[in-house]
Amino acid sequence: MRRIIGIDLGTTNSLSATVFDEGPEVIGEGENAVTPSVLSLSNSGWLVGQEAQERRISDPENTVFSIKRLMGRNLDELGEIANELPYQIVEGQRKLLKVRIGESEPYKDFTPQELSAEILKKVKQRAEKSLGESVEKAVITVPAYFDDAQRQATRAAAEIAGLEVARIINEPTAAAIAYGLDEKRDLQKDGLVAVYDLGGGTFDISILKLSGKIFKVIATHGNTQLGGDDFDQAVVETLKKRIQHEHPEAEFDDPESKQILKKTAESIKIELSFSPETDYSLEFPKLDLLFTGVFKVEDFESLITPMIEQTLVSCSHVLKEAKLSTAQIDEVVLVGGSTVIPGVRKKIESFFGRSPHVAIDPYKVVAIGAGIQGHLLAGGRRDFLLLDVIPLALGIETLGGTFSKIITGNTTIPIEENETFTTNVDDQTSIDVNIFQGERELIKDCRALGQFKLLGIPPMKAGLPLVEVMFRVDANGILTVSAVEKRSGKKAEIEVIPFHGLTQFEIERIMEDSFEHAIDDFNERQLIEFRQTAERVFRGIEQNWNVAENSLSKLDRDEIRKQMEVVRQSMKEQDSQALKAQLDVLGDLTRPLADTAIGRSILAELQDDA
Amino acid sequence: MAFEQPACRVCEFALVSRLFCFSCNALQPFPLEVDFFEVLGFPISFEIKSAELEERYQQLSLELHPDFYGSAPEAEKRLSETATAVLNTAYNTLREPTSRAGYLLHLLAQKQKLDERSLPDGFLGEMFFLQEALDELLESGNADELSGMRDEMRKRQKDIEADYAPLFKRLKDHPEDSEILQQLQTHLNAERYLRRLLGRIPA
Repeated sequence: MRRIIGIDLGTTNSLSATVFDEGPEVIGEGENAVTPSVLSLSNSGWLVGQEAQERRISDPENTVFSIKRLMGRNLDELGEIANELPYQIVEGQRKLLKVRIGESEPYKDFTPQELSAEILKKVKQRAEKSLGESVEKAVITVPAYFDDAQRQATRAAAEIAGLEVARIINEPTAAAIAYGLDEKRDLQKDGLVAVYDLGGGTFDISILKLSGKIFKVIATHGNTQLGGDDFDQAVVETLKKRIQHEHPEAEFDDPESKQILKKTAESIKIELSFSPETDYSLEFPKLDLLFTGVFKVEDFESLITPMIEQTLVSCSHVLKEAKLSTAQIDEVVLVGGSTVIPGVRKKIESFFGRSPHVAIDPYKVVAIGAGIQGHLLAGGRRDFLLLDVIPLALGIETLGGTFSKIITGNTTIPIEENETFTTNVDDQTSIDVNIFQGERELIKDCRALGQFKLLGIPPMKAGLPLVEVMFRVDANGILTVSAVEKRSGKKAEIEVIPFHGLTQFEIERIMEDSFEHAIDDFNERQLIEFRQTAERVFRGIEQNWNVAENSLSKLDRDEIRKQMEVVRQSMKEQDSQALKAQLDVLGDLTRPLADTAIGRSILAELQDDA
Repeated sequence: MAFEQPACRVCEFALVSRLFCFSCNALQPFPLEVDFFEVLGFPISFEIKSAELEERYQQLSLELHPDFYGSAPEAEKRLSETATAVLNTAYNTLREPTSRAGYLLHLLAQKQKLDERSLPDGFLGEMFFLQEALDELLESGNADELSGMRDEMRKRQKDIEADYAPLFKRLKDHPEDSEILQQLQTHLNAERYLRRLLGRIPA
């Protein structure tokens, strides 16, 4: 059974988890389990995670964070966020977003998919190191309210990172799995559960029905542009106002000042979860300005209240969709870093009229749920089933710019629906169809996902061809379209032009361009590592050969020479584990040599390794 | 209505659902236009107990879902995905009385030409007044009166729904009676009309 890990690819932090013999847990311990979703371009390539985090202030132009907010979006949709972020965002072809790195020409532009891929690579490598085995497949979580373009972008990122996506699942659903299958759970076995998930950049509310082995999502709602980042930004705005009150001339538009403000806002937010007020001190070296002050929890709460109210509107909406009242909800589960804020908790408690479940660390619960789902997909268990929904209706543009729904929102996936199209003109051989996603009546209020062209329709009189188009949403919530002309039985070809995503060709080109591509794979990285070890060991043996001549018998020395040759052969092969085994044998043979004073320093490495 | 019980392609055991053999756990290939009653293993009839439908749906989901075919051969994987999609559509269609009635009528009336736009006598006139009243209320935005109107329309909808069961029962005794079929179609049309009106009332 090949392991399938779970990855929570977060706006702020990313984690992986799997099912160990002792049960499901995040991979890595303490600080090592968490990879901040931050990356920084250095002379030697990308630094990802903690190392990049440290460069947010020292190298703001080259340091990127909150990429999840850019996934599958364009510049218009980002609005204000684009200005708040200290790094530069530009528009590429097909209105695709790109992050621009560098202070001057030549710039380097990267798609959000490529940047997310770097984070995924890091998470993958850390998991491999911790597990001691290669990882090829993963379940990756996304906000429930992510639309098709955002899901496609996430899948493309994984592909670029060299990870096979076994499944994309929704974050609140993952959390429900983690709670629902927790041995020590205090959650009811059957009942209605509301999962409130407020992360760094996204908000989701999902209502699930648990009955026996089945976790069924009844309805979901959310906002993919609302989260802890916005709380930080509100604090930033207040800080700016306070400073400008005393220093009206001060400007904070440079990347460094933006980062300083953002970091201070983050720590104010965190401090205020534990104490009623906190001191802050802001130092802007470039402005030659030092500013100190006190932030009170009341100030903070009045800043975030409108945003929390907005989440509660979503909660009312989802309850209405599910035809339920708050009194019918049996349990409330909190997920996401922003739910640790006491002000947020209070509001949720009074809305639902019950205290929420927080038994599993809200930072870890999504990754753990994804890890359990990975275990199920790998064939490790089949004692539960998750039935998830598509969050928003899918449909096409019809006459007059109206949106005609083909698959309604909150439908259980996978699902297939057919729609028949015909021609308007005699001998017309192609039809253009525009695909949209949303819940509104008019296409201008919905999201354009792409356009497909039905090609190869046999020439007939207008209205005669019957092209049946199948819209299929798979278990990942991702749409594929296929078509057949029913009169001729001919498969109509379909060409989908994604409006927000990368084409397969673009994904492949990025993968080829990636300078780390050659050492993507765990086996290859290990091969490189073991080959280097072998080289060092050979040098060590040669340098200490005189010791060997004095202390070892000719037989032993011949054995070592012979084994060195075997290792050399193995170095030319591609099997890292075989090379390791031969190195181990060499280690055993040279142990007496390593025990001598001179050999110790160099050959000790081999003994440690063995 | 009698129908032929299909058999499992592997063990030839009589199939409960057209999609899966509970005897040998084999996924079953199924025709493109598979009948939703056969999918869920119920006789073709309007009478379905919702608890039984729910249970069968869960039971089949636990066998068919692609999550359980992660390491299966590609063809089987794909079959599980389409089978689950068909299961979901069948379940969604049969769960609600209106869509079930509509689907059943479509199955039973296949050979007969029904007037697809017919409405009950006097219905249009009634709706005309209702629509005018609704337009006025929407403009004035009186929430109480709006919700009163919603309740009234829902009651009207329920009345129509209540007629499905006896009509289908009569149809059972007189299978090809086109008058009953047409009456069902008329009921469905009226309900669809009401539903559209209801959709205009904001929550």
